[in-house]
Amino acid sequence: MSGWSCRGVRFRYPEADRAALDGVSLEVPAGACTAVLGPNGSGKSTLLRVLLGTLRPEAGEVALDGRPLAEWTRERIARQVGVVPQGEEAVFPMAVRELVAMGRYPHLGTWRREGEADRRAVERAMRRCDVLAFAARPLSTLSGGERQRARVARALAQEPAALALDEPTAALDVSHEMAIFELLRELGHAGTTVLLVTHSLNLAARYADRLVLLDRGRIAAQGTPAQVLTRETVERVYGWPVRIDQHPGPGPDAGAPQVVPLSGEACAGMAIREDADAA
Amino acid sequence: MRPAARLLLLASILALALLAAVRLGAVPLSLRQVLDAVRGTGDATTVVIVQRLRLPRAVLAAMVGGSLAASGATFQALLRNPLAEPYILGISGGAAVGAVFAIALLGAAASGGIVAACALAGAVLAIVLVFRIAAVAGRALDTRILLLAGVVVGAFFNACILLALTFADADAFRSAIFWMMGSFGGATWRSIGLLAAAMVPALALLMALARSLNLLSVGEETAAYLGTRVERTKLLAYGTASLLTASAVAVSGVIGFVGLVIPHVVRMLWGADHRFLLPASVLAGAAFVVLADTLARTAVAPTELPVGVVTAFVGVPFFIYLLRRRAA
Amino acid sequence: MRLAATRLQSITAALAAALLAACGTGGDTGARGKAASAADSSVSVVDDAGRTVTLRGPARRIVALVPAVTETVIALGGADRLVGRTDFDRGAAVERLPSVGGGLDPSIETLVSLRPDLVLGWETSGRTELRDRLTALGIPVFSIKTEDTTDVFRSIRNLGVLMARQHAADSAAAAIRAGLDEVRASVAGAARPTVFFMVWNDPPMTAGPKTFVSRVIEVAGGRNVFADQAALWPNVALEEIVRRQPEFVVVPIGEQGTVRLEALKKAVGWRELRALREGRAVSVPAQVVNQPGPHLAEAARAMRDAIHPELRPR
Repeated sequence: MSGWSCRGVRFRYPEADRAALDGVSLEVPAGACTAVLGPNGSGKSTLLRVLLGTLRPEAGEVALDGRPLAEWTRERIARQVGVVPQGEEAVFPMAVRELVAMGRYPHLGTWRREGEADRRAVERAMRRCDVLAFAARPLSTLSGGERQRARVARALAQEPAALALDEPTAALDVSHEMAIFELLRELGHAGTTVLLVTHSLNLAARYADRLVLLDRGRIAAQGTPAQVLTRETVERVYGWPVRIDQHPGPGPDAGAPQVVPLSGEACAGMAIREDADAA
Repeated sequence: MRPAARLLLLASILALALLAAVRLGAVPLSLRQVLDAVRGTGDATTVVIVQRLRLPRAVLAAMVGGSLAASGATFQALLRNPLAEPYILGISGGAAVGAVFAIALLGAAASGGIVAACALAGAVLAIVLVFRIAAVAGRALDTRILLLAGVVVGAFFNACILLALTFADADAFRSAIFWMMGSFGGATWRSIGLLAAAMVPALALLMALARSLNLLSVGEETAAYLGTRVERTKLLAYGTASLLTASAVAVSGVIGFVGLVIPHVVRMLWGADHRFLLPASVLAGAAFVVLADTLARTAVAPTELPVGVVTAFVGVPFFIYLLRRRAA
Repeated sequence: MRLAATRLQSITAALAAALLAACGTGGDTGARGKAASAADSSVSVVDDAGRTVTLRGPARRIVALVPAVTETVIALGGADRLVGRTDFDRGAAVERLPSVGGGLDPSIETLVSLRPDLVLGWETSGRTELRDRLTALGIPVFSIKTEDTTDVFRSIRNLGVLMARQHAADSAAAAIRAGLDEVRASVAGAARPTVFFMVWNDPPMTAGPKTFVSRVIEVAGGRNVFADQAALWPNVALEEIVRRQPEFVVVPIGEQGTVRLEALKKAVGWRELRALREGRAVSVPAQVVNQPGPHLAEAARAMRDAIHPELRPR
């Protein structure tokens, strides 16, 4: 598939002062990993929802795989795109395997029973996310991070052409966070389109092919990590003094820009953050 | 145990419950007598008792129990709330208003059929009101608003009922109270046929929505991402479960506790997959209500206890036992 | 053709009986719902709901759902024909009979299993579901109204026909009439006090003018202080009772849930009644006064003794 594209997207939540997204145009190319970054409230999750069709923009066009999003049914989107939402609360007790097995529903429709192929897809997904050991355990006995991995497994079980993840590593420890990013890189090599919303500037810089930096509903910068993560841009958008280093490597990460926040004393020497009310 | 085997087990329990219901009563009958009576041979009075009294009553009890359990499970999934039950959207209040007004205003003209029709109308009115309120609040089918609207509409209807009872004469008062307590005493093959006409398509539709219900019970956003057309599915599911409940209440009065507890029992034993949960709840709910009705009929004969009393008195301790077993 | 003529004859006879009964005289024994023709012994009577009930022969297996009617059946010598009772039927004659539960909502199954050939039910303006179900199951149901004294006489006569014991019916009716006449005569010329008959105290309920209780009060030489009410058993406000200050308060005592007279004398509102304060609150045995049945004359005597203490023998 050929990824997402959107042009001039504008979205405003009811009773909000300003638009959550204002004139956003970007490309999420197929087969690559694109990370959406930005401070709190910059519109990252909103953008994800617009691209996935759960929010309808008041202006602009969104296309998925070259076709306007409005022409896609939910079932067809679910067959192509696996989504890992930021959080969810399962009210009734459920085993991990049951949760992951839901990833096969878009392919099964209403009446078909799960077959051998489905079961294998579920097993594979669980193994890749390291939740196979918990397969029979109820979700409520898992930690937040383990549940998050189970949700990633569910998206993988869909065997989708594209993966959209909203802060997939928020609750994970180092090894599991790294494992997820490695997994994303692997999937990217295998041709899966990855769209990732994350707070981790540095991991995004290492693992993503493209970055999109949002600032209060507008695109502050997009392009390769090196293009986006410059000292001026980062200080302007985040409002904190930083230094940009280069990742020493070894391996594919070498040369990736790494943002190092400085201590508070350096605030004085910072590039001025544009005031929202000026201009 | 595989799901099919479990369903078979539940079906057997239901069959045994039906058999007990037909054998027990003012005149205990042997198996032989029951079989004869079903075929129409044997003592005339026994035939009447079996064919016209006990059998329709048992069958109706089973159908109502199954309907309430299925709709209870559905509401729990849609509202993502373990406390949800079939009457949570004010349906029982609306049905009771329809029935009580029919009894109070029509007096002698209020036959069983007319009261049931008015109860159904009242229930439908309640459903429409709840959805209208939720729509006016701007977010139709939003879970919290629906719950609130249901509570409010239910309270309003209860007040209407009390008002009607204040002005009713002794006969109407008595009839109304007895209707509300719920009973299968008025079961006829005709009312069974009518309920079946509503129940069968409704259950079939809910089964078709089983996977969607699984997804919705995890979250509406997640369900959308996994291919559910959320608003459409919610509308279908709410509408079907509401009408199923309304039909059951119209025919037999307000019988509580079944729709709340039976789905939980099945979930505790065998998990929350609605493809199994729905048919299992139907069978378990049916068996439970048939047994409760039999007990209600025989415990202090000839006085009949209200079925709802028995379902609560029997169901609550059993439920607590299950909870403790789970915690252990 | 013959069948139609037979039907017409029985309907005409029944209508005539009903007409005469409505006049309240009851003395004419000529017209009864008599047998349709000499050839078949079926019994056909119009019940108090206006339906013609036809039995194949005189009733032999009876269940009476109205306690006063049970008493009437026994008074006509039919105690051995009763096959069941309600929870509210007391007394040695019926204790050993199986109960069908309450009179208004008996267990249909128990009823059916007793194989009655006649069920005597309540005629109310309420729902007819019980009657319809029993009729649909092939059990004849005869509805009996029990509001007024004429209802009592009519039911005695109808039961006489249904049980083919017209003579006993006539005697019983005559005895009641004689008793009532005796009471009426004994209070002729005496002052007629106003009487409040307390059916229930919270909320206060009394007997309306169309009830047999009200008639009994009249026969016993009193005036129902709420004779202006329209309802049969009206709820009246305590204030209104106080306003009318009845000269006597009559309270039926003895059934389950009756009120203690002593407690009433101290209760808020009730203690404003002069009748209570000055010792003119009288209790009467409930089973005597509450049955519109064969003990009407006894009820009248009890009522007379209650409100005419001056007439009691020293």
